[in-house]
Amino acid sequence: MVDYSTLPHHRVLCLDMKSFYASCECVRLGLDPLTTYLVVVGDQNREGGVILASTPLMKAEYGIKSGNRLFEVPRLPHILIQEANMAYYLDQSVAFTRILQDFVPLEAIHVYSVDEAWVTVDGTERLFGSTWEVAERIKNTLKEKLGLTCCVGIGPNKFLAKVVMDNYAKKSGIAECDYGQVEELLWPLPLKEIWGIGSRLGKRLNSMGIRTLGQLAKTPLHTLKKKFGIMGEQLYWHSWGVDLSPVYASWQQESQQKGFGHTITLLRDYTDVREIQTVMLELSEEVCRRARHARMAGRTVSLGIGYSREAGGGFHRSRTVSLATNITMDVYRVCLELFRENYTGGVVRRVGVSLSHLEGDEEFQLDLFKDQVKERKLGYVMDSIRSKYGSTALLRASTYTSGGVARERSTKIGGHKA
Amino acid sequence: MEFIIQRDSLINTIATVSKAVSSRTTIPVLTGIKLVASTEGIILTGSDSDISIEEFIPVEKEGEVIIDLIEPGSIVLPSRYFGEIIRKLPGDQVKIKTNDHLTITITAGKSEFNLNGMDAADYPRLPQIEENRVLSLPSDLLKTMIRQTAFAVATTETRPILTGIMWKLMDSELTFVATDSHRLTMREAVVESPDHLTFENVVIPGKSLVELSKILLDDSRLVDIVITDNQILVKIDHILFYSRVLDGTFPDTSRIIPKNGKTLMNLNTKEFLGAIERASLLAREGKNNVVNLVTRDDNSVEVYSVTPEVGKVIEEVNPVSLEGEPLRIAFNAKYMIDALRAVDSEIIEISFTGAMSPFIIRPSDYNKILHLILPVRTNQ
Repeated sequence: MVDYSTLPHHRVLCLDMKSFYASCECVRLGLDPLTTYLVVVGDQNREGGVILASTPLMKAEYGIKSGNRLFEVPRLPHILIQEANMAYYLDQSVAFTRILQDFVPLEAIHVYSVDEAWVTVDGTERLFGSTWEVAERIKNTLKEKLGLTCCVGIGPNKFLAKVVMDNYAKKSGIAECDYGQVEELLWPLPLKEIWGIGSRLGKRLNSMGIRTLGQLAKTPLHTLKKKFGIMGEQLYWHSWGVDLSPVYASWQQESQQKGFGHTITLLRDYTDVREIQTVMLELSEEVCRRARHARMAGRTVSLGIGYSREAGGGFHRSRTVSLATNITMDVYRVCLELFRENYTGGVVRRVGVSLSHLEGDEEFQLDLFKDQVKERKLGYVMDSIRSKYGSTALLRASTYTSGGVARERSTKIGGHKA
Repeated sequence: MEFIIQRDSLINTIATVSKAVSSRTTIPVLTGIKLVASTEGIILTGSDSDISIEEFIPVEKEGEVIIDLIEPGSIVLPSRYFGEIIRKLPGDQVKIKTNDHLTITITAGKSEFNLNGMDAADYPRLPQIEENRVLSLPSDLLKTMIRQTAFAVATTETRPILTGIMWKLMDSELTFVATDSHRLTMREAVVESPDHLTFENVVIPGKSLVELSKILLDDSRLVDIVITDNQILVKIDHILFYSRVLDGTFPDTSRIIPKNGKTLMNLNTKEFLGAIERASLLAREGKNNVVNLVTRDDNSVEVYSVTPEVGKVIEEVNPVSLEGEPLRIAFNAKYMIDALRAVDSEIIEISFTGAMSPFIIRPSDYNKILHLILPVRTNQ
């Protein structure tokens, strides 16, 4: 048994905006998200276009949720099919965080994704009342100002707030789970409903005869540690509702960017090596641009290649070079090395490049055979041209070949129409 | 094949040839050592296809009988097992005898080993070398020249040609150049060679030369070096050392070396090395190992290093002499330490041409060695 009295008793809320993109789209059109039948689709012109979000009614009555395809949506007069307006949704997401700041200081907010955030409301009793009351206040304010509905989970730490929100707040709007209720509320839940346990980990646990969180809690700690290492330990404590992760952000941690990475799922299968390399170059450029923007340079280059779904698999390899760089061609060269050494000739559907092991780029070793100062400057000049005249004002010739994706990408945010 | 051999002699030869044997080879037969016995003696060969080493053990050496009762033949034996077995055997003599099906019996004292071998016919033939271009130099000189340059070769394969040391011979002057593109080392020496013999851009893998230097003795006995377009062969007594020559053109380094320094200083090598080593304690490995050097108005030099998360170090160094423009420069301490350790001179002369240009380190009394280092650009 765990002695809960020695553990932190914070007042943490986990907020999730209901059907965020779809609700935003309704608000944009002046409709009520709760009474409208609407889906947001990535690309209206492709029958295989993926559904990004749907309103609660669509989910309840037609079973259409994000991940479905456009052809699965019934074509009925009362069902609205809208293409994504990513830029607008991101604006709404920023507005959402800003409203949270009216209640708590910035360091008490942990933005988890566009539509999810944790808020620590310790010490606001005199201002807003009980935790349940703050939750209601925030929920009402969001509804009032943005027209969006959210679900709130309340717990003594982030884990419990998140899990109780995922499993109990969707219908009622607000749900709470304290340490004393872990056994009653969480233990009966199947593993796949628990945040942090994905399908793969779930399968491994299932094969050990563990199907619910309660069964996980009854598994000896050393067994889990032996099988899953440090993650096993975390699993065990989570199953008892214990989560010691900080509920306030420290600025130092926040500013420590670890790396820059981009992964793209291609619109079609790529088999031509030159086309794949073009994408690698474009991603290298994008990664280096972001590194340069942060005035950083990295020593470790990673390349991830995913094969098409039929073939499956892929590889992810990284290499650390002796000198940190943010020069596109340096990063690309390392990617090429990794690609040549690991590519087995499959059909490629996903490419990712990242640069990590960062340090400031103000200091660098000069080179006898190439003008480092000039090459570095060149990158910055290209960036400034792009920021002034648009991201497609200056592109590499290879971007105009058949494999290039940079032009298409520039019109999108998060892979969907801006 | 059958023979009885002095164990010491065999141990030494196995140690020599196994320097060329790599366990990570794609050709299985190369994990072994080839033995060929004839009436004159036996020959052992090891190779990783970049380097090959062959040593001959004669029947008799300086009147002492080393090998007895030879029956000619050949076999390839697994290097690791063969070496360890011979080393651990009791007694002074070992008997080696082949049986059927490529196995051998090794007997010494009351101990008997049976070991599986491979067919010597499958072993790659060593390159045939035409001995047109031959030069001779003392063993210890060659060893020194390798030691003074090999550390500067590139360790990454970004530009494969830079993993080698470039050899050049002109007017009986032999030059070695090595660079990893951030620093460069050059060593010259006058050698015995036929007047007409000149060559340049013979680039030999640094790794090969490091192995070669382990075999070279510290005496002035002459070794012969045969140079061809794709191989070199070094002959040391009964040892033949072959190495591949790298393909490609070594960058022209003659124009890189600045002629006129703007800041000139002479320093006590040991003292300066100590200061740099201490300063580098706080310099971060991953971050270019940066150490700063500043000249002060009172003709002293300050060496310092700062790592905000760790601390800082400042040390004053008094140069033997200092002239020219004031200077503030940053460089990788490792490059400086490597160069200072390889200089072999009590006093060194450093010639700087500004904070963004390469600087040169030479012994003050000897102009056959040159180290060049490129600085680190900082935002100061």
